[in-house]
Amino acid sequence: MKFYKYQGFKVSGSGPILNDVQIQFSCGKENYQEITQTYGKRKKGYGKPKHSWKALARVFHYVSPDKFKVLAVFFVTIVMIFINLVGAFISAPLVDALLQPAVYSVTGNWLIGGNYLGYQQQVIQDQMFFYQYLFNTVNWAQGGIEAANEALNTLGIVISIMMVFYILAFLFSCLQVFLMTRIGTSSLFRLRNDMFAKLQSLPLRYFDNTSHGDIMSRFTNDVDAMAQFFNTGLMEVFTSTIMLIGILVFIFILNWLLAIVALVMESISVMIVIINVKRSVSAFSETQVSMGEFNGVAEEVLSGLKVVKCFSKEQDMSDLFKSIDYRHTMHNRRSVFLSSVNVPIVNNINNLTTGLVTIIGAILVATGFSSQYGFVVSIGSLISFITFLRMLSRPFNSISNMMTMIQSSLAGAERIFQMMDIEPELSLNKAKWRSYKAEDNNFYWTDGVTTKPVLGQVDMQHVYFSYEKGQEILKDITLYAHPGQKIALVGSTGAGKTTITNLLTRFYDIDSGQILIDGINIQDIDRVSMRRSMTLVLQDTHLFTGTIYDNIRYGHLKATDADCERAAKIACADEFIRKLPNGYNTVIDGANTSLSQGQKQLLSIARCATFNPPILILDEATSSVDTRTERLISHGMDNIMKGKTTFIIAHRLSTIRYCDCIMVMDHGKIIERGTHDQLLEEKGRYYDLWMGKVELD
Amino acid sequence: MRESLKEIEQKLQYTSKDESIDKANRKKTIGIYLECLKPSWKYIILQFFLILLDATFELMIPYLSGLLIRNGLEGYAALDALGNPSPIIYGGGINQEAMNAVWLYGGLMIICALIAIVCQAFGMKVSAIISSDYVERLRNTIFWKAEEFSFSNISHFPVSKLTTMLSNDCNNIRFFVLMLVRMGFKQSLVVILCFAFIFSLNWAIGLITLPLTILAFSIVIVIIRKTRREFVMTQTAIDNVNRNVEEDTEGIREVKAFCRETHMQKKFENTNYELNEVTYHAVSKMGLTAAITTLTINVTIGLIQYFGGFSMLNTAANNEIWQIMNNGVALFDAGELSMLTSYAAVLTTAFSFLSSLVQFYGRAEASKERIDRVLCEKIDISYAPKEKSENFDPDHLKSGHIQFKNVSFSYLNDMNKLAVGPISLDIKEGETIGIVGGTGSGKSSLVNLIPRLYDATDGEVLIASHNVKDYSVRALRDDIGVVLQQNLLFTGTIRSNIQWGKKNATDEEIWEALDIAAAKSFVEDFKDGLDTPVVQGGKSVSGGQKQRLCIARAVIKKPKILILDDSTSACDMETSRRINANFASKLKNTTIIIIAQRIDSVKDCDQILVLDNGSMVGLGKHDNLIQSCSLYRELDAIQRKGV
Repeated sequence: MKFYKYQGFKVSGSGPILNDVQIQFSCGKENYQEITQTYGKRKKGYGKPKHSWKALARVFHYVSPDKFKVLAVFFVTIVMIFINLVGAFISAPLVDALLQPAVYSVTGNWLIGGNYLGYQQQVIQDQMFFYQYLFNTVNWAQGGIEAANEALNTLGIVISIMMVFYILAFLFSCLQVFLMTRIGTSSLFRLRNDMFAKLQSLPLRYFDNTSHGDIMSRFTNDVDAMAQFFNTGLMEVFTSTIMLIGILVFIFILNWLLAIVALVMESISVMIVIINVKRSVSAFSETQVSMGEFNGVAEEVLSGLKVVKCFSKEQDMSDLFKSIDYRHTMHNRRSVFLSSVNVPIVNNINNLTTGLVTIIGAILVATGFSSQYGFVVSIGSLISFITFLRMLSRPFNSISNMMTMIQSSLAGAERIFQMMDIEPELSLNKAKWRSYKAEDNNFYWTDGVTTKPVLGQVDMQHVYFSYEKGQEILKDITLYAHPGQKIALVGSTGAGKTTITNLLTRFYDIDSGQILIDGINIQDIDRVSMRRSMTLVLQDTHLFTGTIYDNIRYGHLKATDADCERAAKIACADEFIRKLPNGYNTVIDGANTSLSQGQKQLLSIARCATFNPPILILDEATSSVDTRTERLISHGMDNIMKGKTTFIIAHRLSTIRYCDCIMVMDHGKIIERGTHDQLLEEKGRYYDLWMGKVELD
Repeated sequence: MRESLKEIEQKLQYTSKDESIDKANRKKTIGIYLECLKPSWKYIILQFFLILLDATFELMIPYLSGLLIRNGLEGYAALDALGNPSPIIYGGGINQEAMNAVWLYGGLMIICALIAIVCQAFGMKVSAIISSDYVERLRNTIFWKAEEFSFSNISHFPVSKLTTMLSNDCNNIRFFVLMLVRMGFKQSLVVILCFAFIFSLNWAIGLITLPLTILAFSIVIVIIRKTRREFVMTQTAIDNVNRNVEEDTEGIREVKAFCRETHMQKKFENTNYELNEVTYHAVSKMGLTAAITTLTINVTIGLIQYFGGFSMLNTAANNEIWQIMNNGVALFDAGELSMLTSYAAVLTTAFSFLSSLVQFYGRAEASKERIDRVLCEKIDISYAPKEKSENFDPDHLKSGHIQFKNVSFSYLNDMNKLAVGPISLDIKEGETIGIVGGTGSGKSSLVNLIPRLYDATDGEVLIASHNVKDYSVRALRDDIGVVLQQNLLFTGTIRSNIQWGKKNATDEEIWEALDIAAAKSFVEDFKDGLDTPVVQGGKSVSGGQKQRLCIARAVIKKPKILILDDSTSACDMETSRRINANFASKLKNTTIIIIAQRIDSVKDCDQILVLDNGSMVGLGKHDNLIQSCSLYRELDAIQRKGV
């Protein structure tokens, strides 16, 4: 028979092709070892997350505006759980005070106590009061089937009342769900808003030093972890805790000796859970790290896919990926197992406890000792005790389930608050000088007493600056730009050109020296006013989601559509915009725009044309525009630059040829300055660059 | 003014067109998902047995505790002479026989619990293995598929989307598979066994329980299905929020320079508000399922208590109908009542597990739809090389002779606009041809047609007189060296990167290639030489150095055709001249195509092609073009004099 020879399915390597997709299996252990030999084991740097509970306290800060809702939830939950617990408890008195005597009454054979009075004395008397009450609703003296029917009626009434309460509990728990979700989502809403506001207030230093992926991951992964906590975890933990407390209170009232037995047993499972949670958290962080690894490889390969294809490296890269995926899978197996093994332990230790408690309970009841410890003096009350024990497993289970989740959301909270704790840009509300755009469309400085027009005279005097202490980027820079002058900065990457613009816009503050605008030290100018008096066009132009109009208007929100079109015409952007499917109303989708880098730069120039401030900074503004288009827009650019102090940074020397002054920078210093012709005559660095002898990089 | 929920929903809803695509994809990919599961068959069978044991032993426990109550506590194990049971009475002393029953059933309960622990823990392990292995295969498959993408396919999927797919979406699926083999198997078994137990105890009570639980379960399922749409919307809303953050981070200089912080904050708060509302509605509806389950448990238990009361009394009264209902057993007692209520409770929790499984399915389904888009992406370049014959070998290019015959090309997303052509061109073996033109003039698009990075829309491209479509991938990759415009080095060393061009290349060969690419000198200056580490993207070396290493990587192949797409732009004139000279002297038989911004770099080529808006406006030597081609003349003039 064929089946007999069947060897099983293929496990490693690749599988069949279905619908043009080749199934890929694991690389297998042997291949994994081989591949790691070729590529080298990637380093293992598993940091253990530290979780401070302080982060949790701060999380609750975001809950506090909803404190009335929290109070309401608290109340609702307690009532709801109380009803459910009573529901579980009620079966004991029902059996003891109604059903059991009714059965005896029907059979006429009172096995306990001999007759109903004896039964009352032996079973009912030492119980809680409503045993007595329930028992007395029936006239047992009439005996036989009549008493039993009466008991059944009482049973029906009690259960009907309970049903009403159940429905009430249901309504309450719906209310709890709505309230709790509201609290969760609006806390997150506030947290996100806060994070975003904080993010925007951070100095540029943060954005330059932190990878954007990292910032994004704080907003996505970490907030996601928090969201899980807020959306489901919070309610689960809250309900479980109250339920746990409720059950413990009930069983201690019922019989504290049995309760202690149960508690001892349960604490064993709690201990196992705690040990496990620790192990599983470290396994979890291993998994996360190895996931980061394969993400890294995937990102590298997929973003370089064109190169990979040109060199037919698909198979090799797939092998590499598989090997890392293999290791991740090994970690994953372990962490998934560890995080879930709590459940069977908690569940079954609970079952074990039930068995144990029943045996001990039976002995206690039989020997008549139990009344010293509480109310478990009958079968019925023992049953309800056991029912409570069974219910105990639910909150235990969900809390132990939540532990891993809470740990990861705490890690998330920590990372979030790390960002929130970074010093923001200094607030300059107290700054002396502000600028405003008067009705005549000109800008003016004012310190409340005197007012003077913004001219655009820029002086930098002996400026020193370093991004990191000890590594000076700019050394003793002195330069001046008279209103309306065009100043060019030339130099290789790292020479400090962009740094100068960063200082002018006050993205960074200088270490020593001073920068003056129209004779005012920029430290004394309100930051917003400062930036309002200048415009920036960058190499990597960024467009925002919205229409072309919106993007051009970004420079000046009050600009009309006509203004935008005029600006686009100046920047030579009008032509390509009109060719777009919806012209100026084409929606640009942030990152996925189909516009070329050059077109983006044109838009950015148009953006700056709408605003028209006195100082203009062009940082490689036309680097991605081809030389011909650059020449076309140069006319428009001349228009924009007219009468404005302009700083131009350019890689392409042809761009800056006609500037009033060209500064050649090297290693944070200005090494040559002068006009194009002067510098050529000097036959220095600029001459070499112009002649193509030196590489600008 | 904040938007109402309706408006938000309209904004975030996905279209019916998407839905139909997803439906079509589902059919195509189902086999793939199953195929990935197959290799775990041994574990699945093992898991099934473990669950069978586990569920049976776990369900034995309420049964045993019921027996303990009846035989032990109520004393049915110790009947007196009259056939009456002798229950354990408060202070009534220990009846040995009844107590024995207590010990027996209590002990059995503990044993069952211990066996269940072992089975469950083992089952947890096995299910962890099944789900992790499964998703490993799935992930490898997705990665392979993504690697097979052609150049135009790549543009449909941003890399960030693909990497989140490999981590997050795969994780969602893993979680569902985990829950399916763990909970799905077990709880359905538990449901069946529970009903078996209940019906075997008292079928009347079974008949009450069955419809109630089914009703509750269906309500829960309906709610979950309904919220699915909302969860999809939540995802969209999350994407919107993230995009806002991304924009703000990427464009922070602009935001700050234009003082648009408040503007951005407002924008963000709006999308955040949308997310807030949608999540609230989705999550709170989902939360109701738990409340419904609890209500069902309580109502069922209440009904069992009442009905059980009837049963107890009527069986006690020897009522025959009640006895039949109680499966012929005359006795209905507290023990049985406790069994029934326990099973009802187990049943409803089993259903709540199953409904949460449906919840996980919803999440996994959304992820699956995203993955399906990748798996079903039609790869638009397929290779069907011709058979090998006497005068044609599909695995090798015979020469570097390239011909374009009326070739035109347009990108898929813009079919109406020709990116290139129609162009006819003949490049002889060993010739060097330069291509110049403005951005967007189609230079790169044209050369991409040669190694079939894209396929021509019309006309044909011939190499050594055979259509490029007749060759195998190997021929096109091994015999054509391409240095792309946006070029990258990969994590590793300089050696490992150069070896991309030729596996197992010796150091000698590598140095030779580096020499041709004018990279030898600076690599020699590095302390570690060829072993100098390279970080992702090649950011650790300067732009000019990176370009030269990329050229060396292509040159080491000893290709018949070498394509250089603006690949010396960051090098200075001297170096780029030297590289060109090296090509001329050392790669004599290689056809070389140079795309350049600078006229200077192509001046000495055998032919220069001038492109404008995709069409040819000039072809010839430098001196001729200066005379005949106005665009060429203009470019030359601009670069000489500046703007």
